[in-house]
Amino acid sequence: MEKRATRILVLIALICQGLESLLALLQQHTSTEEQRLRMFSFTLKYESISGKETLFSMAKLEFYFDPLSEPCRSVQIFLDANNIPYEPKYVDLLNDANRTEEYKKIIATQTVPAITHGELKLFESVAILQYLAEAFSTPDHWYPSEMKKRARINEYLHWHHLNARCNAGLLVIMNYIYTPYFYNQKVSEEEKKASIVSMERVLDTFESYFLKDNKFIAGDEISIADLMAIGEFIAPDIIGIYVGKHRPRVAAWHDNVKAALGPVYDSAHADLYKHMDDIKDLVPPVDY
Amino acid sequence: MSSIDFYGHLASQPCRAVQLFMKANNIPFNFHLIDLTKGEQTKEDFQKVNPMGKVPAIKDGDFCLAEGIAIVQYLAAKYSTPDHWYPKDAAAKARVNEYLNWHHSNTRGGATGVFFNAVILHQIRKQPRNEAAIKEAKGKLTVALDLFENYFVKDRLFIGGSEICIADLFAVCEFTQLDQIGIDVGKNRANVKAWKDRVSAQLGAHFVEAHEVIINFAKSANFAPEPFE
Repeated sequence: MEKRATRILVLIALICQGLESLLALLQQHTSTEEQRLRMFSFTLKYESISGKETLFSMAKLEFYFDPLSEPCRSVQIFLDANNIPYEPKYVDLLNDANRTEEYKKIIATQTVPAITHGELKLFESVAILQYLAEAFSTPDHWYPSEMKKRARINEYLHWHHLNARCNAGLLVIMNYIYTPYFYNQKVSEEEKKASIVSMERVLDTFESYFLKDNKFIAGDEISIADLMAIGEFIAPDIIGIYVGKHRPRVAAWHDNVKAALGPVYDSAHADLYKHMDDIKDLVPPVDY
Repeated sequence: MSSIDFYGHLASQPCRAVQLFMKANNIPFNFHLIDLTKGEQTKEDFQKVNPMGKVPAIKDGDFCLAEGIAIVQYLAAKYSTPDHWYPKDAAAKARVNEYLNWHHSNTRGGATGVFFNAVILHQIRKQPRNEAAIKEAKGKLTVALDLFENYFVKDRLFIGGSEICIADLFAVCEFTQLDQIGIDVGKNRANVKAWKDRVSAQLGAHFVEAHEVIINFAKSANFAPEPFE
């Protein structure tokens, strides 16, 4: 009887120890759990937006993304605006979720955004947008088939990479937010100011050559060029650098894009603005 | 059909790519030299064609267009060039577009980054060597070449598949720029070497002709070789 009681007591003690260890483990992995919850909430949100199956494209579309990434938002907006159903696959860049062998097997560059669609695996946001527009036969204005209209958009899309993407919004937010506060490397005031100067030069060309007095880059209707541009130019807004502040044409264009996209714009940017709340106490707003 | 007015300088990588496409497809064009070393891109006549002042640029009647890749995509559509250059099938085209968009920050970012800092700024404009910038560009170039070797031209004869496409033109012209400073991108990368040889063989006399200017320029300016593994 005593031996059995002892054994039961030992068993209970072991269970309690086990529970304690489990609790410690859970506490250690809170951030992972938070990520999983975020992913779950994204899944719910995206399932409700993209619940419609199309007749024409039965192959499964998987969308690899991080909502804090500008080109990911561009693709997400396009998918949602056109009700293209997809399975969202959240890739947490700030926690290096892309730098896994698993992801490398799918996407050689380990970048987001990326899609798989049946047999096709594809990275590069612009290539993805171009593909989706054709594969899902979206309304012509997104990526017009008329060759001169399309050329105008392609001209923007290729200029975009080394200008709007590299030398404008991203450069600014890297220098002001991520490099100093997330990667813990010093960025001098000179470098920070230089990134603003670079962004202004890009915006000058954007306004004078691409946008001019048009409602949208391609003219009267929104296209994939606007989606790429808006992602980059809106990013620095999270530290108070709003590109439309001193540029009425850019502000008007931003309003046109928001009006054309409606709630799809807001849902794509929800996490960006939540992130803005998160970093508010970390990064002082910029006087722009 | 009337000719395309083509504005450029063949020392420029994307200018060569545009010319190679037009020559390979017998697209008639009038070449207008814009001598970048003399600042001709700022001249009023050219500014009317491209207010951004960059080459390559084209004028097709009243229609002006900049950005080399956009130009070639337009010409492929206008002249209905053979499908392999820029396929109509969405998935096949996506393969080519994937490279063309990756090209800017990766192939071009690395290769032109090295060339611009080591040759243009230092050897030509006599500025002190910016070792940090050169090192960064070489890093980018290494990453780009590794992806080229292990993905873009692995198990494929050309970037788009079994036949040459517009992506191959833009890629090869970045690498031939590096040839002028003794950087052989195929030296330690068998797939890259085989692909590069295949592309130049496919383009034949057009390839040789397109590279005369940069080769002569390199000889007369006596470009110093740049170390790179």
